[in-house]
Amino acid sequence: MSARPQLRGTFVALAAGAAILALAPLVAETYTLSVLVIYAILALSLGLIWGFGGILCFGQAAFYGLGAYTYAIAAINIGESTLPVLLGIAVPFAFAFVLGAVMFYGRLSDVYLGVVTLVVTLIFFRFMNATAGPAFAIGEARLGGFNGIPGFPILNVPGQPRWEIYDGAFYAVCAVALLLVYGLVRWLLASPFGRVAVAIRENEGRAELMGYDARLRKTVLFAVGGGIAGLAGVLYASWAEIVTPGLFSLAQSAEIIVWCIVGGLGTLAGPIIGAVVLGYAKFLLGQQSVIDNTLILGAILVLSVLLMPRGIAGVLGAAWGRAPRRARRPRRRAGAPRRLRSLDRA
Amino acid sequence: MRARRAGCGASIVPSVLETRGLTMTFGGVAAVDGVDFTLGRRELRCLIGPNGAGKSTFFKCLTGQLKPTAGEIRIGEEETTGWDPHAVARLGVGVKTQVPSVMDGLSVRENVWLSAYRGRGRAAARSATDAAIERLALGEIARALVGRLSHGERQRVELAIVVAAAPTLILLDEPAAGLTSEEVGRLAEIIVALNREAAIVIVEHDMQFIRTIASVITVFSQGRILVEGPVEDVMRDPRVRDVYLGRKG
Ligand SMILES: Nc1ncnc2c1ncn2[C@@H]1O[C@H](COP(=O)(O)OP(=O)(O)O)[C@@H](O)[C@H]1O
Ligand SMILES: [Mg+2]
Repeated sequence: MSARPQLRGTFVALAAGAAILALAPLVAETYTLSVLVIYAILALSLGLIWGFGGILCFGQAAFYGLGAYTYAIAAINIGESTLPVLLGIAVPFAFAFVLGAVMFYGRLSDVYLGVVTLVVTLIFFRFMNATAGPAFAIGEARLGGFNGIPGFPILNVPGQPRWEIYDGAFYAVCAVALLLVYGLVRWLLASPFGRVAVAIRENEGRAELMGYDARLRKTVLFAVGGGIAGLAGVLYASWAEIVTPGLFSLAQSAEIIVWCIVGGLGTLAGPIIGAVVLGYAKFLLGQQSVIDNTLILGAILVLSVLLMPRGIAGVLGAAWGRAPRRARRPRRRAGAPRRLRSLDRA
Repeated sequence: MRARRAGCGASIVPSVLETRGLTMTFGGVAAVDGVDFTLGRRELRCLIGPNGAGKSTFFKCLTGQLKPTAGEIRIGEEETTGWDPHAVARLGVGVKTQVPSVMDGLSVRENVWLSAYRGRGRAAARSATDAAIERLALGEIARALVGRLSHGERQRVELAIVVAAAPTLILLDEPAAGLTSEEVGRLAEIIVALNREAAIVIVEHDMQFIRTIASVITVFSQGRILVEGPVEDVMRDPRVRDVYLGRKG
């Protein structure tokens, strides 16, 4: 694997993405597009750790909500948005690092990892719902319980608190953020760190026998995913202008997982496509009241798993005559019968 | 990782590997039972014994995949009892497990590179990868996914992974299993060549194969060392025959 074609591939993908993001406002409102792009960033955070690190986190919404709340609380106390944005990334990153360290150094099995992340999300949800009283305040910011925190300063041009960023400009910020995150993740996966992460996903035992500390590396990858989800939360807060405990809900966590599955796990385009397609479908469904939304999304999930096991990205990749790199394949159990070929090519 | 013990130079420690009373029990049953084992520098030792004798479990204790119930392990100058596998590997221990352990979803080259890269950095990893691929004659299939390869090819990939790390102690658990006789011949050559740079312990059943590569054999039975000595002596030992004919298990 040489670096050159990789680099070219990244630039082609970024250019194509930038073109699509630039043209999208011709077909939809930037207000709607902004939230779709935010969902895409959120999906990418799980697509990274699950698709490439093999870490199925049922609580990606915890980092998303934590980023949103951190931003809201910091923005109320500080006013100018630059530091709150950075905190909204750093706090979920740090929290994911600690949580990841506990889980991976504790050698939790995959199932327990799912349970722990799920429970952590539930705890956030419960706790935030219970913070209605005036006692629950951080600095100037009242946590507000079920009603959440409204009325905090939204994003502004760095250093210029009065120049708020909304509408088209906010969409541009989200679009650039998505491109940056995508570029960062591509770079990370092409770097030795990313290659080792994939190796650990493929065979953790062998990676350790090679001398790689899987626990440390999974912890770092998990934290990076937490930081990216936090960024999505920050942008969401500035978009919605309110943060509520619903950000931490299980429905939100499940939705991220569904985006990744429908879009195509083990690719980067997949989760993005999944988030945008399903996010937009949800938006359209929200305008009708004939059938229950959850029912339709559930049906989409079941159909896509049955008809497109590699997700939308897999179908598109095959249509382009080129399967996506490192596409998801069923894991072959050790010792499973495999085709024996006596021909020795030595 | 632990600090080196002061004043314990290489010249004072003639062996690369030593275990004292190594024991591993599973639910009260000792799979490895008080094993004292010493391996000299550049030694090539064969480990034989019937199925279930504890050979693989012994290896797993050495690599850190299993934490022994009792006893001590020393590798080089380090007391490694209870260490994690990645820490043991960093001492220069390479292992080929009995059930091939490779990254099926990655290419042959990526598998080998991952091993070569550890502790080397990028520039040196590339040449070490090339060298290991060349040595195991994997050049033609370097781009193939390992999961699509034949059993023999996968065994070679795993050996290339071991070779690429330039280990000083190599553990090979039944590397000839399932290979064609042609492949076994090549394997013997490779093992002898590797032995110029590293001490090797190899678990094997094929006596013909053992005779061509090893001079000293250790026989395991029911978790203990039954006999240890030169090939011919061990072959003549009645206790070894009993074990293999099932008279004693
Ligand atoms: N993880 C385990 N749990 C319980 N028993 C085990 C485990 N691994 C090995 N054993 C038992 O330990 C004994 C030795 O096995 P093993 O080391 O694989 O033998 P060998 O490699 O010499 O054939 C066997 O009786 C086996 O059933
Ligand atoms: Mg065995």
